[in-house]
Amino acid sequence: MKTLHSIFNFFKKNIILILITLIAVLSIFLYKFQQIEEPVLAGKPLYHFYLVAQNSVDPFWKEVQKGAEDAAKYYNVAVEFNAPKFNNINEELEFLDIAVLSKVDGIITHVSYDGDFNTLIDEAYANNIPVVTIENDLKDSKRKSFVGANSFILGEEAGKLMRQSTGGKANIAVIMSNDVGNDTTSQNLKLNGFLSIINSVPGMKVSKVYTSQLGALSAEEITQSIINSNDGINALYITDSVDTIGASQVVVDFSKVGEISIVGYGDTPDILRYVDKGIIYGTVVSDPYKMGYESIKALIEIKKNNDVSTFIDTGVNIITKSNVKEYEDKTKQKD
Amino acid sequence: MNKSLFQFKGIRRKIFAHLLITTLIMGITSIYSYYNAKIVIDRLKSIFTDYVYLNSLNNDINSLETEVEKYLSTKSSDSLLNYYTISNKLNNSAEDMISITTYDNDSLMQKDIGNMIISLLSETDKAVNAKRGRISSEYIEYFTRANKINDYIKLYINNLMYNKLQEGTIKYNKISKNMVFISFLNIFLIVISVVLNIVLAIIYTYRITKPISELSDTAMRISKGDFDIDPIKIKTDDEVNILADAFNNMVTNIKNYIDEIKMQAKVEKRLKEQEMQNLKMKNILRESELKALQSQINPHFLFNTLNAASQIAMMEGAEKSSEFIEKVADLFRYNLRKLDKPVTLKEEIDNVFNYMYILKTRFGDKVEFQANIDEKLLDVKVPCTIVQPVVENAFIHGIEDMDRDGHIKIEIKRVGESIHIDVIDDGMGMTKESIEKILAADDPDNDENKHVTGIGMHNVINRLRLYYNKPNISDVIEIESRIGYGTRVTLKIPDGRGSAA
Repeated sequence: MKTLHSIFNFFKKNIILILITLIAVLSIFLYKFQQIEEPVLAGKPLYHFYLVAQNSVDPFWKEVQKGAEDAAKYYNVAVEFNAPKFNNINEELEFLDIAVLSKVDGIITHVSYDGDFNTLIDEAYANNIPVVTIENDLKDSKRKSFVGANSFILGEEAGKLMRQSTGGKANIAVIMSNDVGNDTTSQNLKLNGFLSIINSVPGMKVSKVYTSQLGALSAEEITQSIINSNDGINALYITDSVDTIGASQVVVDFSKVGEISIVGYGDTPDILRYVDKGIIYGTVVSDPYKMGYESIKALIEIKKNNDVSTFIDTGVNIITKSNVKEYEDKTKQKD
Repeated sequence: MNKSLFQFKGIRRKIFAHLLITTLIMGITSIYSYYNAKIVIDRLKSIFTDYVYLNSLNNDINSLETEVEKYLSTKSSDSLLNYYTISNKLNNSAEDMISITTYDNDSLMQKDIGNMIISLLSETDKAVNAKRGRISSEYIEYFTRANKINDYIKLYINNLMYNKLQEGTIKYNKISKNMVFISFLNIFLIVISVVLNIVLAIIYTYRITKPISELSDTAMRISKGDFDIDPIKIKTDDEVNILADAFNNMVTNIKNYIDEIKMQAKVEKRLKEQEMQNLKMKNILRESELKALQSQINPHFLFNTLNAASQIAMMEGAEKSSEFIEKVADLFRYNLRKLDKPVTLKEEIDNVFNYMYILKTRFGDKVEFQANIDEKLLDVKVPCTIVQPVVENAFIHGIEDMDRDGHIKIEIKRVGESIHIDVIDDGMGMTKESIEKILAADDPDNDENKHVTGIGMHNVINRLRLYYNKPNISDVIEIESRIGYGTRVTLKIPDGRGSAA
């Protein structure tokens, strides 16, 4: 009874205090709980840029977006990303049209020779909107700058990898991507770069060049027919990341790993896994993150100084079993 | 009363404090719940306002398209008017959207939409103007372009809607997750506060009412006439405390009053008894007076006669006879006075000496008298005729019938608080029974007829008892006696009590 009394007395004296502190603590807690909403933007951005990508599913373009976002954060600009879900030149063009109509401060766009990008780029120019092309170039347009990897160099590096993997003796089939909207010029440049190395080695030759029609399925069929035809093909060069996976999958299914060496393109997790397992000897990749970052940088240069180099090389990454882990770690750090 | 309405003291303050605390607890709890609910509602509202806005924008764009088409196909002035109205409205909306000050993805899209609407309006204006200027080839071109832009805007609105829907869903999920937490929190708080309030209420009411109920229990007991209760011990700092103190005082006062009343009753009773005794005494006196009157000869006549005889004797020169007769007359006169009037001891003793003188004269050497009297006591007031009957008794019962001579001695002295008057004889003595008979107060006087004054021992004893208010006989008289040796009768007179009966 006495203890209860003293407890009660303590309560009686401090009840309101206790309650108020309790409520205050809870309120603060809840307030913090609600503050996760809406990230605070660091004031008014300098410019409003618009990026048109080739598609929104490819990890390549996601990396581009990441790079651009980081650059945008760093330079305090706002960037809009737009892309057709799957490769579709008409949709791409529409987005470009929208960008021009929206009177943005600058446009970064993927271009293709297969579509009429020139007219829109000219219109942007007329509206005083600078345009930077990315991954592919459109040399005869009024674009201010091109940011990307040199396709010829990509091909050369692939050729060097092929030379390493086969020890200079190879009967090679090339699978080229011919997706609608995929730029044939850059594909050709890749092939030419590749051939320039292969032709300089006597023991190596390219016996077939295929063009895949519809992504993975088609590349798989081509690979299957190559394996079935028994015409001594012991190496595959593939210029597209989706095709690379498809072809490798078939090689694994037919237990031809080791018999057919694969040099591919891309750095999707699946591809990296196959490189690690030794199914794919190596891949070449342009650096999409760097592309995104540099393109924003280039636009800012243009806005500030109205002057930028017409070609910004973002370099080539070569991934083999020896550096695949390192590469993975590096990309993880960027996330 | 009005002043005291705002003075918080004691119970009022306690109750007020308790109510204040409970109200605060409940108030805070409900405000908190309300606040939470409001936040949730506001957030949900913010999700929907965007939808509503975009939807109305979409409708406006659609009706613009319709009106333009109508005008281009019919050239009706109505549709032109409508077109301009909608176009103005859309222009304002577009301006608003372009000047949005936030720069997240949705805001950027809205800016784009604003810019596109302005482009659209310029295209539609061109188309309308071309139609009015009848340049048919151009207006179709402009109209086509306008439709294209229209599609873009719709695409963007759709995307924005989709984004908002996504965000709304995320927000909603978050809110509902929050809601679960908040509602639990609210319920928790409410339960806690309710429990707290109940506990507080119980404790408070217990604390406030316990002393009151104690008080009421005690009051009940007192109202039933049970005053043997311990004083209530209440240690609160409120009116109950004051009440309890007052109550305790009241109880003690009542007790005192009752005691006083009892005392008074006792006193009254005693007074009544006294009155009764006075009546009795008067009766006894009247009786003795009656007795005196019953004597055949009128004492006054006798006294006057004796006086006359004394004077005759004087005239004849018989001095002794004269003195004797005078003494007899004095004796008579003394006995004729009012019995209820006190006299000094001196007067009483003088009367006794008169009587002794008469006895000496009558019986000669048969009886010898001695007196040993403290002179200082002679002015003490005593009832009259108390010693003479005793002396007479001593003579009649102790000495008269003896063969030898007897002695009677009177001693008056102070013993402690009282004066003792001893009448000592060396006569026959008395048996215990005789003494007890004398001392039995209610026994009627058998031997009164033998007495000169008609006043016997009983009369004396009763008068002393009444006069000095001593119910015990032994406080008034003591008798010692041995057969053949004599008797000592001691009258005890309380000193300093001259209180009149």
